Amino acid sequence: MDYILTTNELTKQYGSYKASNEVSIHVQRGAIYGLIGRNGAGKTTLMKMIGGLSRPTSGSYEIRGKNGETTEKMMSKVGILIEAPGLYPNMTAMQNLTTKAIALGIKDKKYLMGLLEEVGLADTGKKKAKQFSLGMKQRLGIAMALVNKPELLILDEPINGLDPQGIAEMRNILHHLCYDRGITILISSHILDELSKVATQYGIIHEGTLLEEESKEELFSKCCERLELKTNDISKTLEILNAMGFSKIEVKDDAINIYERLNESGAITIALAKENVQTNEIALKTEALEDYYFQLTGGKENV
Amino acid sequence: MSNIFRMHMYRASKAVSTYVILIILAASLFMTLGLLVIAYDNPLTAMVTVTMTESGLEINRLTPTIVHMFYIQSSNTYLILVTVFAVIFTNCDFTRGFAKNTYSMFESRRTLVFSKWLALVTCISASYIVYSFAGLGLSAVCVKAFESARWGDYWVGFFVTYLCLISLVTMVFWITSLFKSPAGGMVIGILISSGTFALIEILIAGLFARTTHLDINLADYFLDYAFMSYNGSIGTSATIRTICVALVYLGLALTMSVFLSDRKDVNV
Repeated sequence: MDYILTTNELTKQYGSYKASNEVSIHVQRGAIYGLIGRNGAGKTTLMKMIGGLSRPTSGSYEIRGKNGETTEKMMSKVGILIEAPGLYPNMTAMQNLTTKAIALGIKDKKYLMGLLEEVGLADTGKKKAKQFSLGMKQRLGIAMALVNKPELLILDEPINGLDPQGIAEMRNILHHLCYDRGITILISSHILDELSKVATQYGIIHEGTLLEEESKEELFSKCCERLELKTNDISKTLEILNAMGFSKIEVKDDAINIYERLNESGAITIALAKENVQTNEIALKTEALEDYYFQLTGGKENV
Repeated sequence: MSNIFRMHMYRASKAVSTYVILIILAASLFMTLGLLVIAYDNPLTAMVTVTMTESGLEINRLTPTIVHMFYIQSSNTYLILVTVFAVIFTNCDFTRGFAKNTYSMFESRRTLVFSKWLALVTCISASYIVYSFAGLGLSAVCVKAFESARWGDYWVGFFVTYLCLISLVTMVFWITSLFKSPAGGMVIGILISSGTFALIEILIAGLFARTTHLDINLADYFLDYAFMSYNGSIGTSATIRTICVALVYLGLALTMSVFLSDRKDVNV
């Protein structure tokens, strides 16, 4: 697997409190990696360490397979937008970009204008950043993160506080950056529905600990609608289901989960009865990403 | 390093605070000139220096050195403005969160901090040269300051006060970087530049002299006291001591600022 970023038991400790506890994530090149967790779960701490803003107490991370001192040299290939975008309020969008560009030795104004066009801020002219809406500030923050032509973009809660239109604009920008420009994105959010629309890989973090890491397919297979079937003979039931042409089947504990042809519960029951298999329970179950997250992190009382 | 330096110069050129301070500085130039004229005309506060020459005692009412000290040191306006600028300049990228953009990309934080300090010193140096020469020029026109100018003394005074000023600014830079608090940095900086700390230092020096019976004025080794008490005609050994004190404080504050930056997380 081609990973652009891996962390190895990355830990950040403040006194006796571990804000990030031996977190090991694996971000595939070209993915949009969604870091899910409630406020205070340790997402920002993890991102700050990866972004070079905070020193890990222990553990390490690799960017493009480089670690140690060579990791730091790779930092020029990482763009960050952590918490609020770092902007000078009395400067225009172009002046803010220019400030960062000067630090990087970039003099090409056309390139900077191109970045503003990419995030939809090309027509802001002399308007100062302090006069921008929250969505515009976030988009300028992304443009700032793109100045150094990053291969990995770290975005911490970029859709926080945005209105529906702002969220949709942000989603389009993320899709464009990932699929058109090939930038890998590590994005955190506690708005799970929205994250589920963009991310292709997920890490679920809770109280500083990474609980699960899985692909979109794996996660959605746990979250989507399914028929949950309980019988007195699981192996015979599986044979019958195979004979009926069901392939998206998963056995979990004493139940069989069926992820296709969800309206055929009647036919299944009749087929089982014909083979003398007793159906104890058959029900349509729906589990949203949010429900799955609550189940994983210990319930809604934790939110 | 030069790119970071240029970035800081660019942001300073775009900051409103820079222009506000420049306007106040320009106003202060004329206010200080007014005070100088009043002091020059008033027999009680007449600015007189007495110098022993081969032909006997030479009495000079006003010299370029006195004018320079009056502008830079005696009138606290310049020092306070410089301190305010240093605090704003040092803290601005942290209070605005812009530091995240730079600290995340560069391998060496030491280079970042050193470049920022260099940019600050460049701004302060420019203000020092323009302010002191403008003050001198205005004084030459208004109060006949150079009738018996001793330019050698002037340039020594110019250099020593510059060194003390840069050292003081570096202290403010370090304190502000350390606490990341604009208010805290501003208060400490103003207390230093207004001479409030010097009073405490005199007290400490007095207690030290009483308890140890040593013939040393401890206050001479505090930067702000050494700066405030330097007047351009305190003798060679005292001048050398002032230079040494300024260099030691400058070196310590810069070293602390640069090396401690490696250990701190960026919390903006």
